[in-house]
Amino acid sequence: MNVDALIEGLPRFVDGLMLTVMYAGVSLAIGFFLAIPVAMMRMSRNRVIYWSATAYITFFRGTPLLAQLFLVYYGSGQFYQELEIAGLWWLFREPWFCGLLTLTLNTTAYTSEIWRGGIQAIPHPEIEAAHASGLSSFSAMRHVILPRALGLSLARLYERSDLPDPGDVLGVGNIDHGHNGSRTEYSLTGFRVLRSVPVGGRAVSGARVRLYMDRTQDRSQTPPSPSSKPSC
Amino acid sequence: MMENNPERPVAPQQLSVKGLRKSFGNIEVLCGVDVEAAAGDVISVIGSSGSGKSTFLRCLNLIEMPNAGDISIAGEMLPLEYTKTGPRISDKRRLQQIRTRIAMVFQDFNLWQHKTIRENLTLAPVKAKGIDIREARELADRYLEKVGIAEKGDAYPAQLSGGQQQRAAIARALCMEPEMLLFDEPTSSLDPELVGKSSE
Amino acid sequence: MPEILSGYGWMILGGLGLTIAVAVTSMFGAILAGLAASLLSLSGSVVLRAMVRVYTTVIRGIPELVLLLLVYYGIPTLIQDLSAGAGFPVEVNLNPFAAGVTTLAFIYGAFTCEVFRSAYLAVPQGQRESAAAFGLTPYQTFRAIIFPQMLRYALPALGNVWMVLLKATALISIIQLPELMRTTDMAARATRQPFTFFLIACVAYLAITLVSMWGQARAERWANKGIARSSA
Repeated sequence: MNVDALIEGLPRFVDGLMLTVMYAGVSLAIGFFLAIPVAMMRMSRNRVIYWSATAYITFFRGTPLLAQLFLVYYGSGQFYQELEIAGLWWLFREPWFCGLLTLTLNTTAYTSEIWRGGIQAIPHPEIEAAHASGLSSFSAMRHVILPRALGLSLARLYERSDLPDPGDVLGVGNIDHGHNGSRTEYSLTGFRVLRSVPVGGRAVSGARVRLYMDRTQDRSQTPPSPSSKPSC
Repeated sequence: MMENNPERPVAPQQLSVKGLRKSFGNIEVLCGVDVEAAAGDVISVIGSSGSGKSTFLRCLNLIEMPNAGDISIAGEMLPLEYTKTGPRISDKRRLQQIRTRIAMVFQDFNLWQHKTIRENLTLAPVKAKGIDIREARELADRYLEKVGIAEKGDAYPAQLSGGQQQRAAIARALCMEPEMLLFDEPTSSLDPELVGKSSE
Repeated sequence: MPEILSGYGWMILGGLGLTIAVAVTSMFGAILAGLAASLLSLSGSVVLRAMVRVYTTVIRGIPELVLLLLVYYGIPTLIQDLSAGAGFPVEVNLNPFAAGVTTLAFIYGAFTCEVFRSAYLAVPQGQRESAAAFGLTPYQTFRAIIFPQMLRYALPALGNVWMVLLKATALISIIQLPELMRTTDMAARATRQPFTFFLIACVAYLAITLVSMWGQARAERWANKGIARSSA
C-alpha cells in the first residue's frame, strides 16, 4: 500500500466525496417532490396519463443507470444540431448536467413507486375522514395523505436494495475515452472519485431515510410480507 | 388434577412422569409434576389459563425442554440429560422415533399452510414412519371421514374454518396411529355436538 | 439483421448473450452465498453471526463499481506488489468474466442472505414445532416444511435482487468484458450514433426485465398455493 500516494490524492478524494454527496442529495431532493405528481399519474383513471407514467417508470427502473447515463450524455451528441437550435446544447454538453438530469429522472421513477405504495397502503377510512372534515382535495393531500404515505413507505424505502447508486454516475467519466473531444477532462476526476465513494452512495441515502424512520415508527424488524409486490 | 380410569386392571405403565420441573426465567411453571398412566387411560388436565397445561403437554414430547424430571413412554425413557449448560437431547434419532408414537394436537393446530389437508395427514406417516404413500392416503381419507370433513381433503388449511382446522389437526394426529395422544385444548373450537364424538 | 444496426447486430446479440450468462451465473452464486451466509447467521455461534453481520453491512454500503474495480485491478496489483516485495515477481491477470461474476455474486449474496434470513424467521414457529412433534428429522423439516414456506416469503425479494443484479451487470463493461453495454458502446463509437445504440441496449435490458417480471409472477403464484386463494 502506497501511503504517499494516498496522502497526495486526499484532496481529490474529498472533492470526489463532496461530488457524490451533491449528486445524491440534489437528485434525491428533486426526485422526492417530482415523484408525487408521477405517482398520482400512475394512479390516474385516464389511460393516456396512466400509460405514459407507467412507461416512464418501467423504462427507468428496467434499464441500468449506466445505460441511461450513456443514452443521455453520449446520445445527446447525436442530436447536437437540433439541441443547438433549441438552445439547449450548452447544458447537454456538460457532464454534470447530464449526470444530474439522469440521476434525477431515475430516482423520480423509483421514488414515485414508493409514494404510490404508501398512498395505497393508507386505510380508506382515513382518507374519507379527511374529506368528511371539510378539507379541500389539496389540503387533504398535503396534510393527511402525503404525510401518512411517507410514514408508511419509508420503512420500505430503507429496506429496498434498488435505490439508484450515485457512484455509477462517476463511471461516465471513467469510460469516456474521448470520442467527443470536449468531454475528456471529466474522466480524470470521475475516475479518482470512484476510489472515494465507499461511504457515499447507498450509505448516504440509507442514513437519511433511517433518520426519518426512527422518528416515525419502529418497523425495522418487519419481515417481508408474502403479499408484498416486487418493485420492478 | 387427574383422574384414572378405575375399571382398568393394573397394566404396565404407559406414561410415567417424575418430578417434572420447568421455569421460564424466574417464573416456575411446573414445580415437580408426577403422573402415572396405564394404556387406555384418559387424563384431563384442568386449570386456569397460564397455569402451565400447555407447557406440561409440550414437555412430554420435548417440544419444550424441562429443567428437571424424568419422562418415560411405555417403559422407555426419553433421551434427555441435564448438563451444566442446561437440558439437552442425548439421542435425537431415538427421540424422533418415540415422537412418531406420541401424536399431538396443538392448541393453534399448526397445520402446514403450504400443504393440502390430505398432504398434512400423510406427510409424517410417510416420512417419519415410512408407511407406503397409498396406504397413508387411505388412512387419511378414513380419518377425515371420521372427524366429518371427508370433502376437505384437497383444501388448504387457510380455506377451512377454525373448527374444521381443529378436526383436521385431530385427524392428522390419529393418522400416526399413536400409542399416546396429546391434546392441547382438545375441544376449544369444536361445535358442541362434536365434542362428545371426538372424545372417543 | 435490420439496416440500422450497420452490421453490428451479431456483435450486440453476442453481448446480450454474455450479459444474460453473467447475470444468471452471478445470481446462482449469490443465492448459494446468501443461503450459506444466512444459515451461518442463524446458527448458534456468536462469532459466525458477527462475521455475517459485518459482511452484509459492509457490502451493502459499498457501490458495486468500487468493489468491481477493487477486485479486478486491486487484487492483481496487490499480489504483484507482494510477490515483488518477496523477491519473486509474478504477473497476475484476472479473467474479466470470473472477476465480474465473483464480485457480483459476493455483493448480491449479502442481499440474498438478508432475504433468506428474514424469510426463515417469517415462517411461524408452530410450523417447525408440529413437524418436530410428528417425528420428522431436522433435515426433513427444513426440506418439506420450512423451505417451501420460506420461498413464499423470499420470492418477491429474490426477484427484486435479480433485477438489480441484471442491471448491475452493465458495470462489468468497465473491466472490458464484451457484454451488452460494451458491445453497444463499441458500435456507438464506430458509427457515431450513440443514441441509437444505447437506446437499443436499453430496450434489450427492458426486454429481459419484462420477461423476468412475467416469470416472477408465475413463480409467486406457484409458491403461494394454499395462501393466495384465501387471502385474495
